[in-house]
Amino acid sequence: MKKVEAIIKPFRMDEVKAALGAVAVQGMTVTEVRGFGRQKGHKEVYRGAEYVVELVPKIKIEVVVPDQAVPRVVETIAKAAKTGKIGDGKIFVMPVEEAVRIRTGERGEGAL
Amino acid sequence: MIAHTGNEIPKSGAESLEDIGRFLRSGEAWIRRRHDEGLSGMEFCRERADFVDRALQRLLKRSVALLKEEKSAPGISLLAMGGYGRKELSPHSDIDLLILHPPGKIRNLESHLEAILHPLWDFGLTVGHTVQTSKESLRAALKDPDLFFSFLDARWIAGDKGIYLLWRGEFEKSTAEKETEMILEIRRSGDARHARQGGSVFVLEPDIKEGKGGLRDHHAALWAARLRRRIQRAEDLPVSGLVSPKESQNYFRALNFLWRVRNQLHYHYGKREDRLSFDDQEAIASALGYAGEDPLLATESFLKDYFREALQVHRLSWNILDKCLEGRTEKAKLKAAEGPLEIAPGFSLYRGRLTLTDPGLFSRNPLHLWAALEIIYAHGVDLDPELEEKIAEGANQINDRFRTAPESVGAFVAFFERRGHLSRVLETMHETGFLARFLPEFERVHCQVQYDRYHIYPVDVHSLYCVKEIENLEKVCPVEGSVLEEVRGEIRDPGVLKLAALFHDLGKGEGSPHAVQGEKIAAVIGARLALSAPRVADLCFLVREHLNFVEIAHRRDLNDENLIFRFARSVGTGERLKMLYLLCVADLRAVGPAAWNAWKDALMRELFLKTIHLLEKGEGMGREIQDRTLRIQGEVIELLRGQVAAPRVSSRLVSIPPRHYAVYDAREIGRQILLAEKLQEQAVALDGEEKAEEGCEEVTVAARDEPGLFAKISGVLTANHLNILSAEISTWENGVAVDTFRVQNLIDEPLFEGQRWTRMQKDLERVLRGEVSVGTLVESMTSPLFRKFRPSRRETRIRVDNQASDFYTIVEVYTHDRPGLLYRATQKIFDLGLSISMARISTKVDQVVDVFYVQDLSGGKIEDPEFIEKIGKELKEDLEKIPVPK
Repeated sequence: MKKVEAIIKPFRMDEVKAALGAVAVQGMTVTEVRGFGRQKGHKEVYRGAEYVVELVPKIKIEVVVPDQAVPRVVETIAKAAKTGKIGDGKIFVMPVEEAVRIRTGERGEGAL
Repeated sequence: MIAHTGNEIPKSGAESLEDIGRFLRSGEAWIRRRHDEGLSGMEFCRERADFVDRALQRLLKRSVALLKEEKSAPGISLLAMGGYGRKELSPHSDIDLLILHPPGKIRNLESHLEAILHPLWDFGLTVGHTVQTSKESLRAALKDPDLFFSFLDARWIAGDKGIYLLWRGEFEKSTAEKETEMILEIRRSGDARHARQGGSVFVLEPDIKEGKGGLRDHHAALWAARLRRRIQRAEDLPVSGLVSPKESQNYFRALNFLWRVRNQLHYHYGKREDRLSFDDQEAIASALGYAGEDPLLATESFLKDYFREALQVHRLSWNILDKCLEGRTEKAKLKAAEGPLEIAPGFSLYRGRLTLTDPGLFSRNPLHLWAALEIIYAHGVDLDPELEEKIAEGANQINDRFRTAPESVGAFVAFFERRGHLSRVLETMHETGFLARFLPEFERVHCQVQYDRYHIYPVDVHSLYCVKEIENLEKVCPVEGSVLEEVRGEIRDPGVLKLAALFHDLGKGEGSPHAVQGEKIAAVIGARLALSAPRVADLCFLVREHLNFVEIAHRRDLNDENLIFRFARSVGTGERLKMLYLLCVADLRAVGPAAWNAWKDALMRELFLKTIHLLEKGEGMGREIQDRTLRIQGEVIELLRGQVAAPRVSSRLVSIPPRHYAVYDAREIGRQILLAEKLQEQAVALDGEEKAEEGCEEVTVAARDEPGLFAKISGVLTANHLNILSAEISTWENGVAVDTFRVQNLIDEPLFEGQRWTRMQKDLERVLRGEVSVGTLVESMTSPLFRKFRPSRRETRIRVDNQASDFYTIVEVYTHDRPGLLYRATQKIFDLGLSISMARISTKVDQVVDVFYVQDLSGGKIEDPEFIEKIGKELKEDLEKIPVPK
């Protein structure tokens, strides 16, 4: 099992969610996150005063899938989140040791 | 060890466990039946406590009998604590026991307790017990307020009554010293508990026990009354003088209702569960006899009853609590010493609460109701429960004449215009039913459940909270030193903003989208409240757009300038935008504690700032440009009739950036669309025209947009001996780039004739297909020039401006004219990793001013100061290298 974690632009969320649904991803965790990458935030100006915005709003999507589904899931997210610009976000893949469905006690991929 | 299994043979008269078990089981079945037949909540709890009492007594007796054989059952006293002590046993309530025993080492204590307690667990009861000596337990109670209150409810069930009486005496002695302290603690922890539970009676998933208006409120009142008036049971409240006979009637009716709901909840879940969760409200309502064709309506009517009774419990219990504190705290002493204070004709302030001294005031003339509200508005005082009752009665007389009477309209609107306790007024109006009588539009949303799992309050309560949030914003800004703080100080008509907050969700329940329905309702109310036409228009605008603003902020690409442009145009004025922004912040904050956060704030602020900058710059925002756009669009459709299908033309027209319409006329745009249509078959399409009166030619190029396109086209024009005087480039939404160049022919061969025009078209195609590099093409250009260029001493200057636009970094190039200049500049910009979205190229005599609107490849402005410096430096160096032809 692997966890696929994607940081994307907020307005791409619906597309990514729909695209993942279409490739039969059952569940996901969506979090509103803030952060910065190479751009290091930006400045806002109102009435001559400058306000530094260090953290930019993004959406984090996490899904845990069987190993063989990883390429498809990553590709799906990348395609749906893409606006053709490099600020579109990042995808991380990491190993998952165990999964437990709390209600039934099922373990492993059966619990996904 | 004494066995406690049921199949032992009874010895020496000890009752069998089976019998006791059967007794309990039949008790449970009997009480369940009676509940289903509609048994009142309090009676249920009392009856159930009674038979649990009897089971415990029998268990104790049995254990004593068993231990008699060993001649040593220890003397213990069995006390019911907490809810069990109060005889409030719902189907799955905990059975809390305190078992008191004499000090010292006691023989057989453990066996004795096991014989009593283990069967209880086997019978399926949830038992909590503490085994202590009197001294130990009293010491513990002094340290732990919860334990202290639980002891207040203690009740002897079985065993040695002497131990209990001594303990009770000691405990009461200790309470006497701490009376006021403990009542204050009740009040304090009660307020904290309410805050934890959403701060309102009207939450969508109320907790029947812990919530505001829940049973804990009643317990708090009961504890205070025990401490102050030494009453034993809840039933003694009416004789304590703390509630009037009428109040106590309402109070017990409400308590009975809450308990009945709680009992049903326990049965529904098969365990102790006190929260009326969203998913199960329908089932609970139906089980309690709320029926009807529409289960949603039945659920709503159940919730309405629930809220009404919970409000009653909260109001009366807190009134009891206040009375128990009267004259005890310093503040309360002062208030009591003042005596009744006439505050307005017919009203006086007594012990901190507003009371009615003229009971016939409202029935003689209901318009006097406003006088009560005006006092609340001015002083923010609490109301005596009797006065609330009177207001509710008075509200029933409200009719159309009252609603439109100038006194009514004037008084109501004035609450929104000035600074005062507006939220307190609205709360009172809401709780007494006044609001829904005065504004019948509220009747429909009264306690209306919002089936979205997002709102935690019903529509009407959410609306009130939204007004409160605007008031809060006026007082303290949630984020200091922020844009929000600036904006709230700039609102010119806070009255309309607060009215919009109250009305913004009234369209709910009228079918979606509710904002559109809400606008209609707001218009009707606005007219009835005699607001001026511009204010009604603002009110309607705010109600209509409040969803749109949040939707765009959170769901759309805020770097899309056309989107912001269209939004700005639909808003129209900065003043409206500011109100809309504040309304949306307040709306989210009123949804629930977690709905508004830094994440949402950042996006909403970004939308606000980008829009206000566009509005204040005013470019293309005016009525004029809007009219012009519509006119051109109509003309283009006419022009292309018969050439291109109308729907295709329309979709092209929509894809054109708004700014485009300010630059071109219908004929030009029509030709551009024809060019764009050609792109279905060819990579690039070309159009040309002589501008005789301006002494130049115009070349229009349409191509699929790609990085560096502008540089490629410029290069091809340069290689074809054209000097570019000015250029307008624009990118349409579906990826079509349309660039228009004013050019000067540098050789003695007509541009639009024969070979030359075809050659240029071929060159463009080859470059765009990648068959030849534009660089090669430019370098291979050799030809006598028709025009002479003069060397200049003018220095090349580059200015990078990041302030003028929210979407682009603007690079301005000031230099002297040379052939190939635009190609080199655009190629350099492309090499730096920037994309050009717009350009204004102009040449006056030999002075060139090129303005490029650029973004980095992520579609944003360039923020890194080092990179900005690099752009300026490298562009300058590059341009200075271009030779001036001799």
